[in-house]
Amino acid sequence: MQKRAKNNVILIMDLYFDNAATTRLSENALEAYIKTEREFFANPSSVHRDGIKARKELERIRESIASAMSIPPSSLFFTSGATESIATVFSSLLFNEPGRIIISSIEHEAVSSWLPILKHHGWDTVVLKAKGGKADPEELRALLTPDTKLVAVMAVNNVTGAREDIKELVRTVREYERQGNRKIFFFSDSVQALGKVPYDIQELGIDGASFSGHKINGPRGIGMLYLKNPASFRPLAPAGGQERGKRGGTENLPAIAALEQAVLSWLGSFGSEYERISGINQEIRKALEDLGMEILSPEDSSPYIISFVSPLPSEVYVRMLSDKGIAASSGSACSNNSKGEGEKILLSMGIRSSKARNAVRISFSGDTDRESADAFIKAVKEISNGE
Amino acid sequence: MENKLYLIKEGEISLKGGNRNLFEKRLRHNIKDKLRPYSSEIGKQKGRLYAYISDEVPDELIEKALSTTTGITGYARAHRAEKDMEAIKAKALEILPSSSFSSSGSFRITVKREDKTFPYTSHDIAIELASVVTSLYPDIRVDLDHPDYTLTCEIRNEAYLYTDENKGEGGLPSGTAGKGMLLLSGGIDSPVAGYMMARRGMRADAIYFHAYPYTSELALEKVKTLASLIAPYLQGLRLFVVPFTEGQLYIRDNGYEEEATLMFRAAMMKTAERIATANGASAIITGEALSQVASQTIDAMSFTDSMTDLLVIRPLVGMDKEEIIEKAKRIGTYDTSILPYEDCCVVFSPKHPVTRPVKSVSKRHFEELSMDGIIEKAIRETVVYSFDANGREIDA
Repeated sequence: MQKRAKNNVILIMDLYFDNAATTRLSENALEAYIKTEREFFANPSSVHRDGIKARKELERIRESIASAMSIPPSSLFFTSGATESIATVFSSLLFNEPGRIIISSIEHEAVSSWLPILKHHGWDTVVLKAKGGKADPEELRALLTPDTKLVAVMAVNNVTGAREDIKELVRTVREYERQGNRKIFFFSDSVQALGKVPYDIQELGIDGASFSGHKINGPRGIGMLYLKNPASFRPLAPAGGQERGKRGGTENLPAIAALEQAVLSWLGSFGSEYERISGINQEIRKALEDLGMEILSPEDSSPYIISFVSPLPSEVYVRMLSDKGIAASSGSACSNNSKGEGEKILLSMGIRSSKARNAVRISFSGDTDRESADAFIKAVKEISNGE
Repeated sequence: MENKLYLIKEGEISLKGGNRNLFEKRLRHNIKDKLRPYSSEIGKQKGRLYAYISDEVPDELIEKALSTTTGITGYARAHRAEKDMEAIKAKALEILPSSSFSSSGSFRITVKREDKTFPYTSHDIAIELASVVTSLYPDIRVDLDHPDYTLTCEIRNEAYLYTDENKGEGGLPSGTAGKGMLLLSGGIDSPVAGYMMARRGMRADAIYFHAYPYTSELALEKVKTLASLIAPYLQGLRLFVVPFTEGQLYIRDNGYEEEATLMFRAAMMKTAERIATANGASAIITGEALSQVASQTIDAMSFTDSMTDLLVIRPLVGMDKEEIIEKAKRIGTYDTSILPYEDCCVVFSPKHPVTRPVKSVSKRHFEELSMDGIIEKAIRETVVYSFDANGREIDA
């Protein structure tokens, strides 16, 4: 939205509230992209001086990001995005003896779309319920079997912002492992978690995780895969054995450099930003509740996402917000055309269909400030008053 | 400037008596209209039209123009030759290689000898031309009853040769049967209804009731695409987009819930009548089919009919969905109709709609809503889009 002030200066207010779908590329990331594209254009696999220079830059960035995330650089792989990171893990299962795989009912399609494929190949696919948005460790315990090979629960849900108790879920799996003396791989899609909620891979004890650049003001087409023990994983496409054999194809170095800026920026300002956004979150929650709207996001959700029940079908409400210059989402932005993936997630959480149909998601980023939050609240009030 | 020559068959027009000239004049006008800005001349001779179309016109444009112009039952690219047997054979030898003729298959020669002074009989000409065909395609068979390919030779003021005859739309030329106002939604049925009436020579404009933000901008784009797709059959049309959110909300908040759809249909009829009358249309065309949904029962349609003095035409009333879909696919509207930008009518549709309204009661309920002011305002705020005979959007 543009507001024209009296002295004819245009003030641009950020009324973009769809940051869980994608974020604006930050200036730092864009600069790093351009600089790296210019200075390190050579193929990191080439043996000439320029190639070696690019390779060194690639490994420098890997170390820098790994250090910021407190993980060994050898466990971090650059991919084209979270979807590919997830596909690398799940497609690897196809080369193993089938067993049981358990995923939560609120996983993103990037994960859940693998179920029919695995089932077709003889896997016993089981869905772990997430009543109220949260998977229960005890329910997980009841589903574990001696032939369970993989458990996948996302760290932060993209529709509601619900934070899963990954630490406790992992502990449950590890306890069970000790009984059967067989390793179970714990995977956690962490796209909405990195930089946005307290998140420490070592502390959580997970075996694999996926990350996306464009959800944290980095570019599209770049993401990361964390593998605690990479040995048993196959690449989707071996190609030239890049990324230590886990991800073939020439490395997207400028995007990786931009991603570094994005990760460092989010992790660097984590504490203060978390506080700031939590404050804005509380303010908006209260305003919505005062207008009689139910909040679907659990209390302790990521502060960056609020899902609420609007008085109208979500698509209509989102259009009304859009007319007031506000970008919000009706469910999950990835699937606005294939009818309500977000709606399905909400239904699986036990939310009544009349509410799920009206669910609207707003999501924040570092660009969100008090002023934009107030503008949002004003718009919501206007709609409620029929203006 | 060289011309391409097309032979055009008129079908049903030829059954007309005293009015025949009017129908033909309209057909010629319609064809020329679609070929503009290129020049074309259309002459007439004994049950045929001869279109001389500038060489500059791309074949696809001619193909599209002739295949979508109602009143044409068939057409073919024809080639002229001098009325001389050797010249005719030479022309056949020239055109056959670029025709669909091939060695695998069967053929026949059809000769129409309108000019009885031509020294050869039809049979003579057929024999001569068959020898040309077999010289090019030694393995081709003759089959007089079900040939794969036909070479036709007509002897008139000149000799005309043509091979591949295309089927036309048939029906009657647009603009010979008055004008209607089509209620166009984003669905499968209404574009087909418009097309059906176009085939009977009717012109039409269309009305779309837009309920933004309950229906999306994409839904409007979809309806505009549908209008452009049926425009060639109708020789162009205007699309009246009536903003009706206020009316919908008013009915929801003030009417009886189970009657909401009926009241909306009634308001649509009232609005359509006003727009139709102001724009020279004397009938309302809808895509309703009996019992397809709650508002399309005999009783419901009878009620909506009573809302207007205009004739309400429902060309699909006796068709089943499969038939309608087949037609929609043929005229190219189906793929657009099934795009998912459906309106959020769930807000306005009652859970248990009335299917057998009592006309007098529903009429009274509609009168009690007294929507004249709302309809007046909606008409005032109506936006008009125009599409030419080739389906291109033009300035209204």
